[in-house]
Amino acid sequence: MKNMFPPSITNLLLKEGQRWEVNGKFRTALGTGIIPIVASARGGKTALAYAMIDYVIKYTNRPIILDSFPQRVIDEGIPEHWKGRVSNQSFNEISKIDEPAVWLLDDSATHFNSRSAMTSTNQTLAKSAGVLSHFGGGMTVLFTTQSMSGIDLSLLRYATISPIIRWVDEDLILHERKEWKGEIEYAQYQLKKVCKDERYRDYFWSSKDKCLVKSHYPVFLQKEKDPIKADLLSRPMRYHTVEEKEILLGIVKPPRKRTAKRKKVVQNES
Amino acid sequence: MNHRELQRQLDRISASRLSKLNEGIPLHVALGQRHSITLRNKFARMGLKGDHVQACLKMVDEIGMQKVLENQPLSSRFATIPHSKPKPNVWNPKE
Repeated sequence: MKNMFPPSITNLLLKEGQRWEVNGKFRTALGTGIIPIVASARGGKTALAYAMIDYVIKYTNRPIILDSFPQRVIDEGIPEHWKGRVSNQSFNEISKIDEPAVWLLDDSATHFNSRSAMTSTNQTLAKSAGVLSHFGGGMTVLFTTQSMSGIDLSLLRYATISPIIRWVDEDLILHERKEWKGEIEYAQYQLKKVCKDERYRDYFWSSKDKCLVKSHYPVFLQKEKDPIKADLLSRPMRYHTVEEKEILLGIVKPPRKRTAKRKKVVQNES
Repeated sequence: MNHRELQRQLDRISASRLSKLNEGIPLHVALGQRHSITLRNKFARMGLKGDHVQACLKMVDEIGMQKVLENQPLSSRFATIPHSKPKPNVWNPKE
């Protein structure tokens, strides 16, 4: 169903210029922007991001890039119908992509948080936010995070954004950014009205559309079907090697590229 | 703090206070005037019961409540009118 997501989200998921119908009227998709998904741990952020990727695969021909995902997840975890459409490049390589890609930056708190504002990836992200519409003919970035306060502000300043809010632990709301605190509290109030799940995973709040949306849990994430595949996709960062995890968390610095030293030219003055 | 946030905070404070008072105090005590209470006592002492007594109490209660609401802003007075609970706005795609 092409209308499974509300207009502001569909607007960013479809390719630029693609048309879709909303309440009897046709709209043309913008196809570029940022969709932040906010929820506490095990709140269904990644599952929702996968549902969106599944939608993109079904209704568009846009390539999907899962930022810094372990190769094992790409090889063994992704569903059959995703194969050939999904790759795992680093966001640093955005300039090399010349297609209207949809990026998934999962658990942005570790890669792109405000504490690492000056790391190369974060700088790339901050700088590219303003020109996402130029690269590859318009790119969309989906990112999941546990708190907006951890996200570098530049990311939210220069692009069209359509935030999604799911269950956030009430003790964590106290530490949210002041610009988002009210909206996140309001979302929890709205979710509480309709959700039967203890962590409100049956609905999500679309901040831009000001409405609740029924969650569609992707079939390929159901543990009953294939628990290994489900876990590979559900917590992809678990499947990095210890060295990769240490680099991601900043415990160890990534190895530097060796650069050839210039040889001193000895001039014979005699 | 925006208006909606402040309103929710005040609602929470009110709700927590009400819960400490056995789920609240009667309407005529909370919003009425002292005559409502005096009249109830008087009728009880005299042993009067019946529809006409209830109608009398209702009238005194309403006059008392209106007196309380008289000095309130229009929004507060409007909020006291019985109204249906708004349904949550859920995205309902039609295709």
